[in-house]
Amino acid sequence: MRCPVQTDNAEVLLDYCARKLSADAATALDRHIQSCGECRSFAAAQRLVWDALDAWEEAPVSSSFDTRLYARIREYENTPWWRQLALRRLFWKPLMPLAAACVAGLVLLVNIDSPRDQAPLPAVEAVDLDQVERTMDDLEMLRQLSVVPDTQRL
Amino acid sequence: MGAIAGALERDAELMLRVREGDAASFTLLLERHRGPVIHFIFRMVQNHDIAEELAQEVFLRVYRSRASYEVTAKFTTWLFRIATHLALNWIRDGRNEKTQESLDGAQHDGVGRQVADTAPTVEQHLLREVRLREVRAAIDLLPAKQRAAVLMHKYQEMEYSQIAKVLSCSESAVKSLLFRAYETLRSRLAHMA
Repeated sequence: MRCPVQTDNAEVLLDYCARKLSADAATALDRHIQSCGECRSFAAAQRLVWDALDAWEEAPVSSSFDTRLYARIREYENTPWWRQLALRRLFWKPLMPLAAACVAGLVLLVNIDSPRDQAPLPAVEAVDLDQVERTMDDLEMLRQLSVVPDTQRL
Repeated sequence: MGAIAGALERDAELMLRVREGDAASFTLLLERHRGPVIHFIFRMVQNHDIAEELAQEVFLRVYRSRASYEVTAKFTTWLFRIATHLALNWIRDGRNEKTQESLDGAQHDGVGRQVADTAPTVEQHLLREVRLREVRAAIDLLPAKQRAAVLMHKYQEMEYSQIAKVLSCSESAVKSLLFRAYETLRSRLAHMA
């Protein structure tokens, strides 16, 4: 038999200590353990754990357990059908991812639309390009007529 | 093997009857599984009152889900999945309060009952209590998922495949969880030899 510890198969030793191996496998491992110190010490330590865990016995169940449970069941039975559905998470649980996506989308939209986090932009006056063009034409015409005021020549 | 298969079919059959509205079948299921569920949760959370409260929630959820029950897995896999989920959530949310209570109160862990049954000497009783505290502390220090795996493996005698289904992971992940958990326990309990 190949050594379970050497072959990274130590779970066989766990099963051996838990008495979960078949009779044949257990006998083969018994024989191997007698000749393998590593497996012997592993099995001894695991048996110690197993026996220590056996010491933890089951606690008695309260005598009122069933009474309390049936009272809760009656309370559940008396709740309205829509509340029962909510408790059973039947109709809203599958919708949770969709609802989450909607909320995320809404938050994103609000953030895009809201300029509250951005620095205030400097006030920009509306510029009428036609008016600028007309003014430039007027100035050109005045220059040609030489009636441009002195201040503007400077 | 046949007896086990029979028991499995029996559980599923009972649950299907519960689905049809048979309250007596629910009572039978409760009688069969009440103890194992409470003891599993108690060993997980190490507080008897909390364990019973969570076990009530487990059976209440079984009852609430009866209408949609389908026989897709072992009944106990489904049951312990609910129990494990609730216990892991509780550990995640309320660990500090729990630790304090569990270290102080050992009245619910079977020691008292044992005194009455076998009447050991005071010295034996104290020694047993000290060893039990050490075991509980060693288990309590395991990561919650490793703890759940060990408890199902040791006390519920579940196969790796069933533990894997309960914990929603692969069989090899369960073997790894168990190997690491027992390795830790071997080192923590070595002095008890």
